Amino acid sequence: MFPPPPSPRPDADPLRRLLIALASLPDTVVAPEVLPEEDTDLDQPWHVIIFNDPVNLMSYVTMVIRRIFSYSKEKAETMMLDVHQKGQCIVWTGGKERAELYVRQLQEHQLLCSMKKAG
Amino acid sequence: MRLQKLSDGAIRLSQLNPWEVQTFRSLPILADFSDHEAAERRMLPTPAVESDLTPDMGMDWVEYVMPELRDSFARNLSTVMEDLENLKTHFPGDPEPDEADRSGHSASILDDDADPWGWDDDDDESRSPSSSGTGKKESGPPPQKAGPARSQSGPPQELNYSVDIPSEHAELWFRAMNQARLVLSAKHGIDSEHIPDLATLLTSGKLEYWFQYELFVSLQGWLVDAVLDTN
Repeated sequence: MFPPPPSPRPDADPLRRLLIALASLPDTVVAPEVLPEEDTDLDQPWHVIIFNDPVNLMSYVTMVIRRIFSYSKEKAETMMLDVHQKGQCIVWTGGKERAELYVRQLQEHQLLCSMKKAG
Repeated sequence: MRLQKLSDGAIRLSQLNPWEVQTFRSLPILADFSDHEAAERRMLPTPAVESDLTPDMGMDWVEYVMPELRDSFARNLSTVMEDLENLKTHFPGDPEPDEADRSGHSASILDDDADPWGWDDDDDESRSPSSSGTGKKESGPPPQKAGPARSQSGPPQELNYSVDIPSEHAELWFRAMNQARLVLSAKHGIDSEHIPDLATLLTSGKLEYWFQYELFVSLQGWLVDAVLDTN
């Protein structure tokens, strides 16, 4: 005599397994966040630029550049003269967050400045 | 107006005439950019050039940074006003206020015959007590530098005023005056590179703005050279 066939396990039924899996899912499924391109591009360098204006004193511009960027007096004076004679000067290049911090500090000192993507 | 850097680092503005006092007291009005679009753009520019300015960056700047900048600018002006509350009045013939034992770096500005920044370290005579304007031996430390002063010809013969500015307020005064000049430039086209002729100033109604601008330039130049940029 042959032994009787084994009875199927309760979770062997594919339909039942599917129902159990669906029941274990959270109520809402959140899709992975896709950041816009500019936010993912954190490594792209930015320039910090100071523009000439006819009000700020040259000695003050030099002092502020030295103070914020810790440059030597000679380097700061060269940059100030570039601002004055050429209309603008890139005073720093690097990451976006640091560039924003520098622009904020320069604006607090009332220098005319901006940041711009390098390259 | 006479400027002194006192031995404790404070700044003394003395021999102020009523117009100069009134001009300093008008700083909050002169520096107000709330009613002028171009002036506001100058004081609170966007963080990035237009081609690289994303909406998110612009909104964050408006929401987080600009309020801080406004607060900073307001703090500068309110500090000047608070210091001016301690203004002292001096009547004709009064001794100069610098007869206390606090003497130091000084200069007169807006005097036709004065050279505000023409002091010379090697000029022994300029360090003598008499050249500091008092003609009296000073009990405090010797002046570091001394410039020409009106008082060489005696005490002021008209009502005048003085005010002491704590050293930690010097830069706030500088920025308050700078803001006023930036706003005057944006509103009235007055700046250091476009000097109008007298006839234009007289007919344009901007003569007083021009004098106010020049007063601030003079004081700011002295503050940078003698006080702020000491390295």
